[in-house]
Amino acid sequence: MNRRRFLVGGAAAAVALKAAPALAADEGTLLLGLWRREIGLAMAYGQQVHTRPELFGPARRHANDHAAALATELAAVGLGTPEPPWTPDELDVSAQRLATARPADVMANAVLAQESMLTLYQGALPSLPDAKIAMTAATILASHAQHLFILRRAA
Amino acid sequence: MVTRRALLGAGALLLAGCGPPDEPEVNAAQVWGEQLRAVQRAIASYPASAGMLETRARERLPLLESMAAAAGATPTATTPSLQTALEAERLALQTHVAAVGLLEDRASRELLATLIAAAAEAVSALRLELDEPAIVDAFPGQRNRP
Repeated sequence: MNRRRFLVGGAAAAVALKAAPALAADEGTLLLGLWRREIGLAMAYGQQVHTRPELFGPARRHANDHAAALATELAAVGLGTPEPPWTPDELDVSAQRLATARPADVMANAVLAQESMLTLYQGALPSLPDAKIAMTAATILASHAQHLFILRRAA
Repeated sequence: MVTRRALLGAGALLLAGCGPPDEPEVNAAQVWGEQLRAVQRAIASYPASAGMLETRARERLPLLESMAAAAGATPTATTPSLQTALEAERLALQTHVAAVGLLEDRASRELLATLIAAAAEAVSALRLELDEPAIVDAFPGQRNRP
């Protein structure tokens, strides 16, 4: 290897090392988005849990479990967990609609919220490069598929 | 005194040490073969009375057949039953989740996402048929979990 090639190789390595945090930041941003959606869904179920406690109680608990797992993955990529939302105004559209739905519309909005979560994870899975994080997201996807199944049956 | 040659040699060693750790190479065809066999095993485990549940399970086969050229012999279930089908679907779900950790490309992850959703739903549907709670865990598909 001549000196020029060596220097070029070193420069390429330096670029790769600089690119690594950028990749982690993208993954972190994605994880942060998933965390916000899970914590928002948990809050929405909490607002409606009295209407169908047998369905929304476990669903709220699982959304909180998912958010906790995502917070662990956020810490693994060097990011903290933000403050959770306090009011339905701070939620995404599907969670907000579930949180504020009238009794007659609660089940339909719960189905829509779970469909939205399933679509979200199906879109996120190809964009998570870390194997462990991707597998965590995959099991959460499976959980949302199960909740969607029982909500559709009950609707 | 450190010579220029020694410095360059140390730099080369440093760069070599920064490389990724040696990992066993993933054989994608083999991984897809495992996915196909897991789904075939699940389908073979449904009893004749399962009707629509088995039909839903069969819908996953065409998605996999083109990916797994070297899948080997079709597995058979010794005693088809709803309980056997539940166990087979749980294993299929675990197999799909594990494959997410092995295959990074977009097409594989998209297909695995579809398979995971379908297998997870099948697990819940079979549990209901067996008068069991439809959902027992927040992270279905993890190894060593229900």
